[in-house]
Amino acid sequence: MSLRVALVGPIYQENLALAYLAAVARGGGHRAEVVPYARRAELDAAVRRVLELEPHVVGLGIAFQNHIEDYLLFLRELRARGFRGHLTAGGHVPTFCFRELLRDAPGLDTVVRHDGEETFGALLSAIARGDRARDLPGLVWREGDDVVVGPVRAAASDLDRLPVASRSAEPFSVAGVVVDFVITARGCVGECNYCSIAAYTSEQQKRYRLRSPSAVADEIATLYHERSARVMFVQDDLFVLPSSARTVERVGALKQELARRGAHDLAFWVKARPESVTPEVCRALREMGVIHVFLGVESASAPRLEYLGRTHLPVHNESAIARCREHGIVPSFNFMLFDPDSSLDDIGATLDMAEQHLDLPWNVCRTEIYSGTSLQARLRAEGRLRGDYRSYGYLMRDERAEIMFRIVRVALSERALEMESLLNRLISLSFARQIHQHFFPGRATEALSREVTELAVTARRDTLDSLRRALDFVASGAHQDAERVRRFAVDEALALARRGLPWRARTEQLWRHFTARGSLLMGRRGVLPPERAQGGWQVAAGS
Amino acid sequence: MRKLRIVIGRSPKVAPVIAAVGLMPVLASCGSRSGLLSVDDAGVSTGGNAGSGGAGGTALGGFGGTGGAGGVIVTGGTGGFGGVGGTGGTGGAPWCPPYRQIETHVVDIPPPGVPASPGQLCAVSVEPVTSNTAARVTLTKYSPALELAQGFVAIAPDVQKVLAGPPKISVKTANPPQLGKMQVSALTQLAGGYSFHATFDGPLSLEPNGWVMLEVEVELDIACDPSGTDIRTVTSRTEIHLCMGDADLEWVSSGDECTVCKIIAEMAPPPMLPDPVPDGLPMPRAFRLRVVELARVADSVLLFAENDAGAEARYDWQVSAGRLEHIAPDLVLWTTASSGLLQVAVEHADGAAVASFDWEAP
Repeated sequence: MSLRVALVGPIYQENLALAYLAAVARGGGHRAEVVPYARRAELDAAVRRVLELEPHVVGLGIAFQNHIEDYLLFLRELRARGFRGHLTAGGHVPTFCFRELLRDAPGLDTVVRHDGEETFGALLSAIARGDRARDLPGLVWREGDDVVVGPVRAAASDLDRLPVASRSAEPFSVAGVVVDFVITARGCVGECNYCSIAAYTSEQQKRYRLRSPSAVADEIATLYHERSARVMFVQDDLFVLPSSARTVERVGALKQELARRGAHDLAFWVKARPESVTPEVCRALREMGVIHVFLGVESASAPRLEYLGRTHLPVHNESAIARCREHGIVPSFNFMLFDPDSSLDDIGATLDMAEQHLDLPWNVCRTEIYSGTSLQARLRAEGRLRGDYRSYGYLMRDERAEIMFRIVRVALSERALEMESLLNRLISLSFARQIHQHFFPGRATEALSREVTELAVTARRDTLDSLRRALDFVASGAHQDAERVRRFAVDEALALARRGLPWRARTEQLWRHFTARGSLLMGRRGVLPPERAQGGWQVAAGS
Repeated sequence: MRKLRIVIGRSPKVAPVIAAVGLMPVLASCGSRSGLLSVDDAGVSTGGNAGSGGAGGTALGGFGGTGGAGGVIVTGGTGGFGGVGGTGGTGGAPWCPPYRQIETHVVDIPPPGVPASPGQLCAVSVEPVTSNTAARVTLTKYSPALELAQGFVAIAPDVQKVLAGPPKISVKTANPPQLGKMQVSALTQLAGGYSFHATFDGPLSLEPNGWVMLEVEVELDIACDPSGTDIRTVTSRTEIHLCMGDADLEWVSSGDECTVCKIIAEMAPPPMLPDPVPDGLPMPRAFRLRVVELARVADSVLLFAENDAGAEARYDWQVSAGRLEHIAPDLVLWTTASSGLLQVAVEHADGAAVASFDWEAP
């Protein structure tokens, strides 16, 4: 029997997790469609679309821990509005929190753990045969009131045997240039104790797996020729290998394979660990077309890096940034200003580092606690873990750091923390100008690029000043007065938004300008823009 | 749940205005089909009971009644009548600006400090009421012949509850014009809306080029009062494009863009969720807050501070330009001829949040 399958999940960028599952379903002779759902704003449309498809199976990909309530809402609403088929969920959260999900969503039939392709394929086959969905490795199912957990399914060793992801019909674009998303590897060699990826892969007993350069090149070349994609976001958890020589070899091979397939002049966005960024690696990356590296800098404080289970030192941060700059690659990073044991000195050191790099795209955050991580286990053992699987939290050991964080989450919400905050927009805008510098070099691009950089430096300096005022405020002892703390946070937020208003407006104008200009100039190069494309700030988010 | 009544006034050669806004039970003024205002065809008021409403709220540029929650705010209108006046209670001068047409809209909003549920709010402001989220049309190609399609009008759940008849479906624009001759038949009520059969003049041979599209309008009659005597027409438009799907041509609906109507459906994405444990330190809670536009007419915008700070929260609204009128602690009407920034701070003993809304003057 051929099944109708609806795969539901967030589509900020291409959701390759669902795209792989869609490919698996289609490869099994079933019909599959991906339905966007990220937040409750999309609830009605998503439920309606799923019901229209009359699917036998609905699979929900739960990607973000801090939106679990919205996913639960979807599961309940779908059942309430009459869905009677098989309902399953997968992704990081279900992998670790399947008991809680099955408890809180009575309509959920099963959970697919870890990499879902093989388990989901087997689940569909069982349902198509009319068998009960049970007794499968990687699957969690119900037996009466009990929850039964199948054995962990070993991760597929050979990623090249996976089907090619079934992407959205409409491509994505940034700055008027078609971008696409690809995975060349899964997992990571690191064992960072806060990281969801390390938690996820450790149970599978295969930390890091690579696709062959030829298979990756086949996929990219298809996107290049058939969808006019010219920019690749490499969504690997880790693209740059620990061995400099192996990275150079692999990147060189990929470049060669792409050239052999006529895919020239591509730009890439990749991720790397600072200690792996050598001059040789930078040179190889640049030659392949890498214009941007997201670096796992995290902090400028050695004690903080050690606490977080990082294997690099602050000196690696600076050397990696310098090497990227020397080779014309723009590095970006997130500063984890706060973690359970952060001190004001640690925070100050990281702010000093941020000040040295005002021209680079960065943002700030707190270390969040993800299910299954060793940091979660540690905080639980210390009696410091708060909340539940829908939202874990903690109280910092230094109460001044804790109060600074609370001030920051009020004062910098619109400036830095929200999805479309000014700093996040500037990160996207920075990538837009990098794309234009790569594809359309010249005086006009340089003038635009300068304006973007100057705008970003101004906004980041202003943000940094606010963070320093918050640091000084809590250091002065004023943090014990609740009324003063609240007043300080609110006044900072109001002032930041007032100062940021013209900068936000300018980011909007520049974003539109880059988009229009990119479409035009790509057209002149003979690369016709797609009839319809998915755009928006979120496409380049995280870059 | 509170009910918010929004009155829109329109006159020939004059831009429409938000004539009155108030929480219900509201100050009655001229008495009308909606019980709030009445203006005859010539735009002459028929009088009414000004200032009978609740306590609070001020009346500006119109008539009457300071006093308590539920007061009516009257903004401008041609001529202005009396400025701030009255102190609630019954009576008061009639407020009867010479509007040719008056529209009244009632919107549910949650109590202050309580987040709204999905799809709960929809304020509208133009006659006929334009709400592109009220209904959405999809076409599904089921035959090799492109001229045949199965259609569905999905109707928003809140609108379904007050639907006063079947939808009317028509094509407003089409490219190529052949698509404009869509015949609708077999209209059938189903869960969530109506299905129909769509037939175009055939044979239809089209490529999925960007310009191939049709704009379909759905006209719905909805009952605005429990007795069903006050019927209002709501129109929704959906843009439908011909695209290449995975294996075949397919019709793709867009047009969810909504210019005069906003639906509250979510809170601002929280980068860090609230930690509910009181711990003796300042600001243990992280509130979620966002400014939601409920209605916009000409240079006035009605704004709602949706948040989860609870009933005891205090609201501080600030604007960089224009005039701000307070309808309730979490509801304001902002009128400004120039671009500017509105900010609201929501404070509580346990925390605070700040959100902004920037207005670009037309």
